Amino acid sequence: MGRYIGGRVVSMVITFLIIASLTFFLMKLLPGTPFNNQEKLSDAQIVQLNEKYGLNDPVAVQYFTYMTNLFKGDLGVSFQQDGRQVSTIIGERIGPSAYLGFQSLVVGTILGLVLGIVAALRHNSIWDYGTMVVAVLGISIPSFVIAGLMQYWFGVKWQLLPVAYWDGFAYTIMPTIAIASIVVATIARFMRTEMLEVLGQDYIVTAKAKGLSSTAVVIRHTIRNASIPIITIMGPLVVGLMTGTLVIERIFVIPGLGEKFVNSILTNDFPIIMGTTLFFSFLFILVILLVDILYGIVDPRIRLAGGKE
Amino acid sequence: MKKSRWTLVLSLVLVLSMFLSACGGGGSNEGNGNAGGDDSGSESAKQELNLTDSAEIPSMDTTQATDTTSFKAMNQVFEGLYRLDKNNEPTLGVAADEPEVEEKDGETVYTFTLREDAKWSDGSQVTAEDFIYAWHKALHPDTLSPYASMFGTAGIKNGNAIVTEGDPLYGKVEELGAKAVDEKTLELTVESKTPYFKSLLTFATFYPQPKGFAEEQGDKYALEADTMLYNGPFVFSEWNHGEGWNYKKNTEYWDADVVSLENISVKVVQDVATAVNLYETGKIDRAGLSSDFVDQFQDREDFSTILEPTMFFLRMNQENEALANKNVRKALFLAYDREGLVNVLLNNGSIAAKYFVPSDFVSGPNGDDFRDHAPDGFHADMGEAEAKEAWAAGLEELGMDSVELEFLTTDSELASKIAEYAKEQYESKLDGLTLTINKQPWKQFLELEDNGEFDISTGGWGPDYPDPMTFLYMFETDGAYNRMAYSSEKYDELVSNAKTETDAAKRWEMMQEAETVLMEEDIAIVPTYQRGLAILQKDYVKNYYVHPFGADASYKWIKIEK
Amino acid sequence: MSMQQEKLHDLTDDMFQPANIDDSENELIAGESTGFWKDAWRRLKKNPGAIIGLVIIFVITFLAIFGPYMNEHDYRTQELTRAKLPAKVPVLENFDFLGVNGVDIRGVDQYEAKGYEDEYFWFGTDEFGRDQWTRVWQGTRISLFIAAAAAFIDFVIGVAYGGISAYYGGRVDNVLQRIIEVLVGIPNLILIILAILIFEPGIFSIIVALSLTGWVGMSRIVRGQVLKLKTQEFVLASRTLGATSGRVIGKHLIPNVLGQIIITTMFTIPGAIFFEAFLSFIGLGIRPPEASLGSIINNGFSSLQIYPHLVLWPSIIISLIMIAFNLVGDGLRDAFDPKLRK
Repeated sequence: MGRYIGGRVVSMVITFLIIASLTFFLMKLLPGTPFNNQEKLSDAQIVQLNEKYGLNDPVAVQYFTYMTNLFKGDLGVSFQQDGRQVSTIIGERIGPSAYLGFQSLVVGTILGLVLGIVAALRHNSIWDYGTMVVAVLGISIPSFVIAGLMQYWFGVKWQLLPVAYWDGFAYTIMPTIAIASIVVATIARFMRTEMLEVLGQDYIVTAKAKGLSSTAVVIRHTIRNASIPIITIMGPLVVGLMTGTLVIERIFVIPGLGEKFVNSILTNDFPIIMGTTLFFSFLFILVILLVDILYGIVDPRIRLAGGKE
Repeated sequence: MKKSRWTLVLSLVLVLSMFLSACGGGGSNEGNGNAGGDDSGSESAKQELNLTDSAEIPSMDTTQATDTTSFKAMNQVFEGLYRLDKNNEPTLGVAADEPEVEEKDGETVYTFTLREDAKWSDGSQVTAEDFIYAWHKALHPDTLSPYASMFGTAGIKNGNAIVTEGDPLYGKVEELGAKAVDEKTLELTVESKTPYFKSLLTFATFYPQPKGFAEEQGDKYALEADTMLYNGPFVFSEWNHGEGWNYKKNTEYWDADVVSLENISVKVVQDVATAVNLYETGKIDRAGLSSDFVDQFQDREDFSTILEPTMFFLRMNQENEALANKNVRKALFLAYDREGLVNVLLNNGSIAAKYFVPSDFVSGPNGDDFRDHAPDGFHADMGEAEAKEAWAAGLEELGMDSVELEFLTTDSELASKIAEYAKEQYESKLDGLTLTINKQPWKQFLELEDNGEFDISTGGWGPDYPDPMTFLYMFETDGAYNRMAYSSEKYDELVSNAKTETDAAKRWEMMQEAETVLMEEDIAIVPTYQRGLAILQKDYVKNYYVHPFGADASYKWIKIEK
Repeated sequence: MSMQQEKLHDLTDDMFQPANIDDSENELIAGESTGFWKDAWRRLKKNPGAIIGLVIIFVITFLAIFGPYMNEHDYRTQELTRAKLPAKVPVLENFDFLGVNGVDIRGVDQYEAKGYEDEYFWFGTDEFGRDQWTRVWQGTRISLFIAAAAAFIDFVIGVAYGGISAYYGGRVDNVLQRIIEVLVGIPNLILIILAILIFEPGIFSIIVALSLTGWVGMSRIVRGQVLKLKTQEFVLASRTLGATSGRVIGKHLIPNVLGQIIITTMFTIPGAIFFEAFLSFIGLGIRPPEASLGSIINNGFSSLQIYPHLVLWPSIIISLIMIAFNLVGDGLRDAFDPKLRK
């Protein structure tokens, strides 16, 4: 196991370095300059600003500087927010995004698991069909449409929940539902399939045959074994959450990282784009690694296979 | 065994979630308890205002900011020699009195005395040296302000030379015609007098910066709420980048007795629909509207529109063979249906414009609006029929039967709508014309426009100071904002003469004539509309003053009367 | 059981005949032979969800092709006097609850108010007074085209990449898989956004951007399947008989992986449609005059609360497309992999 994890960490670092370089050169290909209100800038001022941000150096030099700084945890300074550190900006933006992402993930997973389990146990009942409808809708309807409708009905028409802002728990409910819908749908579907498969396995039949109560069978054998593979889809789900937060944060005026990312794209704030890209990638790689390790912990077969390598 | 692993996983999840909710959820809304308002005495209404802005503040360094959000915020927390009042006239700020004026060797020397009680928020005196410090910073090549040209515009001695590369005075900021005679006396030497000198001094570039404090903070000056000092009616009580910012009344402000508001909160909201929802649920007191919402709200009492002196027009690049033809330009000028644009697409109080210097913007020496000449604009009596005629004539002169033009615009939602509208307007009315829309992000748009890589481009211009010249100087031959290869000797002469003319009435006439040359004789641009702003504002918000130039608004005089 | 047992002793010899033991008959297949495809189709037919999905896809594709020609309006004629009319459909207009009677959410009959009593706009009109029905189906056409193109590219690259990687194995596999590891390391959304920023915006660049990482999923599935298959006896047999690599891949491996490939493609399409809509929504999508479902929704989104019809119809259609492809995808998965079904 130790060797397996070690190997994975090394490949993770290499992957990250490649991503960092790739991002850097992609950014260099981007058209346009990052200066606000160019309409009123003279040529001399643009030259001077380029100088200030080191944009006049040869690309190789810029690359070297960038990578060295990266190792020191320095992601550069923002173009648009004059002189503020990218890492500071990410730091102050990550809170709401992380909170929202996590809450959506937890709520979505729990709800999804419950729906999936109920659907499988009451196979071909109204519960089952209901769950499947919810699942298909959750996957199919774009989150921003759900968000817009909720804002109108829950927020304005019925005034049940605050329309937007970030000011306490009540403000997180609608965004959480909008983001979690896809999680619920994915998990419910997956869980249902897994449960159905497990329910058909010989050991369940054996367990029943040896006289275990059906509750015990469901809890001790079916659910536990069916939930193990859920871990494998957690990685893609977490990334899906990031996608969701990009627009949802914008719609609900949440000062998170996703909103900042979209904004920096629209204003060509290269350091922020690069910084957030790297940050997202880092998180992503980390999540995949964690998922693999977790999977190794709960499913010994994987661990053994890994050990052989 | 298995059980314990599961417990491990689960508890990890729980711990993480607790940690996250701890740092994510709580802890804003602190400054709300102490509103009270003992000194206002008038009524018990909480003197609190809730607003939104469409962008976060990019910079609070008066020498570096370039955008409306920054300027608006600065106007609330800083103050220059003058500030704009509700009639957009300069009223005394840090200056204790109107300056002593002295003519000397063809130059004018203004001597300002600063207020005794003008204080920074830490209680220290606002000194003449603080002004000089900020102004030198704005002009110095290492910290050059994007608005450094304002010094030249104001006519301050050597203001232009210091920022002109190659000039012997380049970078020599100490040569600027501004001196701190003593702690409270500021002396400005002006080379060329302008009628809008005092108005310019209300602009952020002319604000002071607390010298000692700023030098101490170095790179960090004005990056956070606690790394700057304030000398305006309010101070930042909180500045959460991206989320919003809160003001609270500045007790050190010399005119604090006039300031009613105790707290103002501003949140960053980009989406109009969201802002309207917040307004409707009572979370904010003022919201800007897009055209759809105007249909919904126009009959309500809290709805109003404001006409801004911001002009939108089409540049026609005369490098293009077809657009060099005056008949073609005339056809384009006439074929555009401006009524549909302002009444349906914009629907926000914007007005159709066939002129270039905006209406309700400036009055001449005799008190008349500049727009009283050609009040309906130019070619006002002609329409589609004349457009087709001119088009046919133009094509014949060129010996062409079809013309393809590229229509350069930006990628904002409104810009795309207007471009689609223009395309249909022109293609359906002018046979043989094909417009290709080239939609670019703002930066790329400016780059292309600056390089002349367009046939028609959408331009917009708002004033920097209250004078028609802020519009007219754009189209001088080879002017930085000309960009469309327009050149007219007559126009150049009129504009440059108007710049130096001292007789106000004559100057006014010259500028009106220049506009006539641009629009009537040369048809150099196709003006489309003068922008309006549709807003909802709660009736208990009084004295919210909006300014047509400089900072967008002043909060100093706002009162909540419930 | 017990009844039968009691009757056992009634059996007589003449009730029996000698069995005709002919080995060759064992090989005879009694029923009609069901191939893989036929079998799958038979199962798919029994799945109501999948059939509904197929019907929806068929209808929407039909409308995307012919819908714009079904009324007298074209997609570009602007007429501002009839801007933002709500939907109004002949006959159905008499049933108020359907909401297609030309009355807006404030209860005003906009057709009457604007002097268009005799006209019908089935999905209403947009802010330029253009017929929304025509525009929505044109948009659907473009969305479907983008999705189909992206799915096709994913298919070609994914199958080739995964096939090569698995078939040759060893060092080739190692190198190719490391490349994939890097690619999947970047969240695909971010890669797509960066790509859109670099290319000129438009249909083509969206397709390219979507394909940039889209094929990875496909290649992994193909690789996994081929790895499993290539060690099986029939492949070994074919190789022993002297089949070339190309023949083994083309004749044996690919056909056996095809089911998986089709399922994956079915899920790629709604994914691509969603991403396109998403990109349009954050302002990086299709540029006018082209319009996709995503950009139409995006245009109307700001007025969702006042002119819901601008968003409602395209949203319903985009959701229907996604639902349909998901249903068919599910159905196919069950059909190709019967052990998942109960």
